[in-house]
Amino acid sequence: MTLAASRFNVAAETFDGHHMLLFNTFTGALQVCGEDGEAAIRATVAGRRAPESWMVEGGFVVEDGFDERAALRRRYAIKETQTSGLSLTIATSTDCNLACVYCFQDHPKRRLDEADIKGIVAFVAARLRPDEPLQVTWYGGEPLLNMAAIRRLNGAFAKIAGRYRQAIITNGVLLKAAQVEYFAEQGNVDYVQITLDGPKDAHDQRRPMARGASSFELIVDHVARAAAKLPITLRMNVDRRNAAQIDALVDLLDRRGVLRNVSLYLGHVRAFTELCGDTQSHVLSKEEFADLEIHLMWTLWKRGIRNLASLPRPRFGSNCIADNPKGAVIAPRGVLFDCWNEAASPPSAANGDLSSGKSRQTQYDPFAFRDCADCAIQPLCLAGCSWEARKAGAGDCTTLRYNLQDRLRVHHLDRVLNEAMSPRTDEVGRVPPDATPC
Amino acid sequence: MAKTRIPADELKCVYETLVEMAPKLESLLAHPLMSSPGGGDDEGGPGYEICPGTQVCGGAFAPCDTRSAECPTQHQPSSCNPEVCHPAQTCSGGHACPNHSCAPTFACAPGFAHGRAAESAGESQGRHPIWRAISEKLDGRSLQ
Repeated sequence: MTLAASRFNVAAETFDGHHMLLFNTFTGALQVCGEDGEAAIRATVAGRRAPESWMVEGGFVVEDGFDERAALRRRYAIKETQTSGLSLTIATSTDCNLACVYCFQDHPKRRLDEADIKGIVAFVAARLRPDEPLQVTWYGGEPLLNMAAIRRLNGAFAKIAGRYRQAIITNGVLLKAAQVEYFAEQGNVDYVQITLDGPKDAHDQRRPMARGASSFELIVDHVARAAAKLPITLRMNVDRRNAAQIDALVDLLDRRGVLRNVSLYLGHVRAFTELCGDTQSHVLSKEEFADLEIHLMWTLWKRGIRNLASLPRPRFGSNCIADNPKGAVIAPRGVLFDCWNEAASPPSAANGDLSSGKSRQTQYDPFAFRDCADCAIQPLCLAGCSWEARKAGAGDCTTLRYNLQDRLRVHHLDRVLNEAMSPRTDEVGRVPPDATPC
Repeated sequence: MAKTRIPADELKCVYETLVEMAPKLESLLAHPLMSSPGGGDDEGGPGYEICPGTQVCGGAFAPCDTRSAECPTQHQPSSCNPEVCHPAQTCSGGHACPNHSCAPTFACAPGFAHGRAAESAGESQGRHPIWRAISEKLDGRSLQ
């Protein structure tokens, strides 16, 4: 059999500089090579050496003539036939109590009402078999402005769906003790995402209350309390105006005892809609933002918060809720949208309603972009955000294009370090076979 | 090969400390640690999954969990990788790793959740002489 090198191999030098990591973005396989792994693959496909099992099993070499891009297309297409359950983003309120300078919404004062709630329950009941999973993300505006709707819908979903999970995107202002208790009692919250854009001054310049007051202390207090009972993902939205504040926020969170109880990550501020004002002039390039991601990862690593560099996962099926046939964004007035960016759009712009479902199948082909055709990252991103890709007429590269190698490097370092510090590591530095099963 | 965005002198410091503190380092470094096809972690947001809410444990093996019976990614709930799965992590979006005392249960948020779990579980690692040495040397560098 004649072999060829996979088009989806990515190489990185290990942290020690003496080994090579090979990662295949199509299979998700990672291999440490004591020698130049790419040279070994070249020798194999040239017939100068026999293929090693890791090359074949990890997909680093494929049968000559095997069309990997066609295989990737087939894997994407299973979204039409093999998805199950429902993935819903529900905007309980398009109104918001903050006035963020880069916001892509104009916050019309619409909230889910009684008719909307009944419509959502009927929508889910008609489309979800009892054994299928239901995942709901509470969104807005600010979703906690309409806790009554969340409580009503949670009660109904618990009866309809045998496997129900929820997540919350909130600014944290209303995440008071009672709300924390309520969500903790639900026992099915995957994460609560709250945003802090830096220390007090930087945050308050960017995320003030709607009437201009400071929101910082309130949010930090709420995060500290909520983190004891709920998984908190803390997001720092970053552009040129606050990129230099990352270390200061890390310091502050550590001093306040919050850093080690939350998962901190960066959001890339972008001008998603025309409502973003002058945001575009402050937007960081993808490469700049990729640098900051690694900077934060390494900053946290040095503080002992390790194992952040998990391996990226090859995409199977749909890329996001917008191209998921079993996904929808539901907004007040009982309307459906495809993308989170549309949640506060006028009902007249909706793609369907609760009574009849989506009115059109959105046409989007993540393989249509020329620049993506030769990109080794493609199985991980599938052209990235479809909203942005449509606007630009080109793939919307994720930061993996720029920092995958560093992620692999830190991942390998963590695994070596974990193993070196593991009591399971035996005399020769290996994990005994009977310690492997989990 | 892409340049590293991590300060090279800090990586070198970590490596040199490991050379001093972990006598079997060469063996650990050369360990092939191949992650099986389909492994990895997802950086997508909610709804970005064909298996809603599912995540992998530590980035190595289990691509989905029992909440998605029709998951096409060859569900392997029992194969979480103890080398990278710290006790407080949950395997795949909520269910606790059966051989670990996984408390608190902690589902992986998009892309970035493992650090918290590793840290909260890793107090004993924080006191480990290897980590202490690395930490002290990196701190020493930053004070210079």
